[in-house]
Amino acid sequence: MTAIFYILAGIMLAAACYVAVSRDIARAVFCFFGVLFAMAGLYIFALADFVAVTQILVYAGGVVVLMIFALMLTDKQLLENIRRGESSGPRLFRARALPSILLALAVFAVLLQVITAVDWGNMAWRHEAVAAGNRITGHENMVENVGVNLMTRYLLPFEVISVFLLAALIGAAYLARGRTNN
Amino acid sequence: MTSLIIVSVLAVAVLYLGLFKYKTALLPVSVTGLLAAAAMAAMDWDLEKMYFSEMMLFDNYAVAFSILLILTTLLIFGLSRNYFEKISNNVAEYYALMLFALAGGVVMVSFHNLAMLFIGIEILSISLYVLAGIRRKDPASNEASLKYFLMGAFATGFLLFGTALIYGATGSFNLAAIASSGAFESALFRAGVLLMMVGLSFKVSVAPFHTWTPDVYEGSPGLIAMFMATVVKTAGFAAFLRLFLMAFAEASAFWAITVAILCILTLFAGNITAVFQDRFKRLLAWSSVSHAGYLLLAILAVGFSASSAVLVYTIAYSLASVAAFGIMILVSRARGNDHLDSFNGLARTNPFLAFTLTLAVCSLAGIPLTAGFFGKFYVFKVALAQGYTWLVVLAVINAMIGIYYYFKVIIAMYMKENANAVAIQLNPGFRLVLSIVVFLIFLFGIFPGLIANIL
Amino acid sequence: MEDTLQTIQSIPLEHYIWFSTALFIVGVIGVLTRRNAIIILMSVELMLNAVNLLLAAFSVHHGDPSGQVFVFFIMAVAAAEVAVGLAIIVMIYRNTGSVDIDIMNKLKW
Repeated sequence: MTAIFYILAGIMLAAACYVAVSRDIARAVFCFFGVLFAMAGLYIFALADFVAVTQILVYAGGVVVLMIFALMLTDKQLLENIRRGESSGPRLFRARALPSILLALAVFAVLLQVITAVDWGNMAWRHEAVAAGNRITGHENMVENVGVNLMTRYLLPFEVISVFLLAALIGAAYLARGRTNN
Repeated sequence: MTSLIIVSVLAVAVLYLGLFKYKTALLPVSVTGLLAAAAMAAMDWDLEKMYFSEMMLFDNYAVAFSILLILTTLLIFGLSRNYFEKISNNVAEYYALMLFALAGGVVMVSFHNLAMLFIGIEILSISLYVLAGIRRKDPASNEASLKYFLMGAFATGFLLFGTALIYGATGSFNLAAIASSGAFESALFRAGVLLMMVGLSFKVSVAPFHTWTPDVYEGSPGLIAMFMATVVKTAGFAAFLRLFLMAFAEASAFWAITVAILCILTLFAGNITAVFQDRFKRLLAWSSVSHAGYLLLAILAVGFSASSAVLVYTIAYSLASVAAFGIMILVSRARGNDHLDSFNGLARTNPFLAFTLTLAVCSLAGIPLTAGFFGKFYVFKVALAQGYTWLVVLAVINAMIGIYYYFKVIIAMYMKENANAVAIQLNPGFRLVLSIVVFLIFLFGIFPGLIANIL
Repeated sequence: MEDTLQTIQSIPLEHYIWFSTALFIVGVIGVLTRRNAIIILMSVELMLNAVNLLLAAFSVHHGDPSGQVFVFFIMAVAAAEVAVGLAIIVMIYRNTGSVDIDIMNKLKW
């Protein structure tokens, strides 16, 4: 059973690496889809079932479709290449990308150091949570829990997000409007 | 809180005005609404109200910075008559997006929960991604928009990773709960603080995360660049300081050295590169990077009247930037570009503009009798009080470099001649705003007590 | 059901953190090394997904739904941000015929 967790995580990381390295955008988008789907599985292991469903709806269903649309609107040559099987496939980094990779890996090393330095079993808030019986066991109704939180404690951010969405809507509509209508 | 609601509703109202083609009503309605918002913010003074289970806290800090942001936006709106009409027919969108950005700014200066910080930053940023690219057919504007977007989204990633680590270390998003969690020794907490610092540094263009700044400022329309240099920078620093003051102050021994290094890098990167610029807009962009360095000095002195120093500095900087960018817009519109040579002979053709610009760059450089002098003075004072003498010495050296490149434009205006320069026509909006700015720069330069003791 | 839950909960917190940190770094590498705006956008989304996983994991171990609520905020914001980003990319493609960020080098210091 736990093996599924590691399999999903492995798929997620492998697909993510392909997205970051691949020269073929269409394949990268489909691997991106794979990352998001595997991620939804990991959420279920974290007992965040509602998040998992939303992940599939919003990311796998919405964002990926948007990406594919952008791809089709921008790269006309690409679909031709796929049909003729001429996609160039993944190619490794160019030389000048090396400093950035080293930098990123250095950050990774530091973060790993941090993670291993933390004594996870003994963190103060985990003891408090266990003592207060404040532990999500998987039996409670998380949808209700999240919904109540959104409508009580987090009501203000929930409302302010609507301002954000309106701004994004107007902005995207303005920028993507056809060139004839100005 | 009422001011936030007014600003958000105002943005929607402006959209409706645009929908029903009441273009002439846009500016009066926006100005009236902003005045009302500023008045409502002032009513919250000394009330220290928490809103919605501690999501926002309208203390005096929040009120003072909200009013500053609203009034700066008001000055910018004063300059925008007939400006956006030249770019596109859809003027309502500009006003609406600027007002949305302002709403984000108000959230950023009054948050009391990391969720609100994140959403405030995002509202501000997403409006600006669009505003930067508002000249849809201009490749420079497009590039500015894309660069700003990619850098901003990247920075958001760091900010959020930091937020998640801090949540992991302390178990809360609430600033007061984080401050009282006692997890400051935990490596997880420290990594979180550093990552949040990286994210915020991107947003306020602190070196080495500043590389997008000159391109984005140059590619964006002049008024939008003005908005970025004033409102966005003020909101960004106010949020930066508020976070470190209210949540991370206890851990300051740990992050102070990092801020000091960022401060030195920013000062030198901004000032030295600005020396080599020959276009005024890029010069202002690099100088805005260097001003971020001076503001970091105040953050170092967290807890020791740092908020007051940052408030004085941002007021002085916003006033001077409004004048400098405004005159840059006029000159580049009249003479075709913003090259420093375009300012030749401005003292002869437009003595008022030349005088205003001189005053503005003197204030940016920190010459006495201008507001900018006291901005630098208070920042240096709080840094000295915390024992950062070496850092202040380096900052003073940088202020000297600043005087050199700011005076290049004064020399161009007063010493050089341009035989075929004609006088630039000013519309009433520009005349009014520039007069107000001149008055305020002098007022705060001579009576700094008016703003120094607010917080 | 009870067995499944127990095995699910037997996965230690640090494993979630390892995986999400690795995913975050993959995203960072993607942003720093790639030149195609769409891929950079996808890499940023990878970074945000890493954050979401981290928050969900902390949330369940803390017994506090705040983390999950935050995940919803991030999802809403990220999805809208993608829409604006793709609008920008489409606009640029209309003007230049490319989404390679190296093509746009008119502005340089």
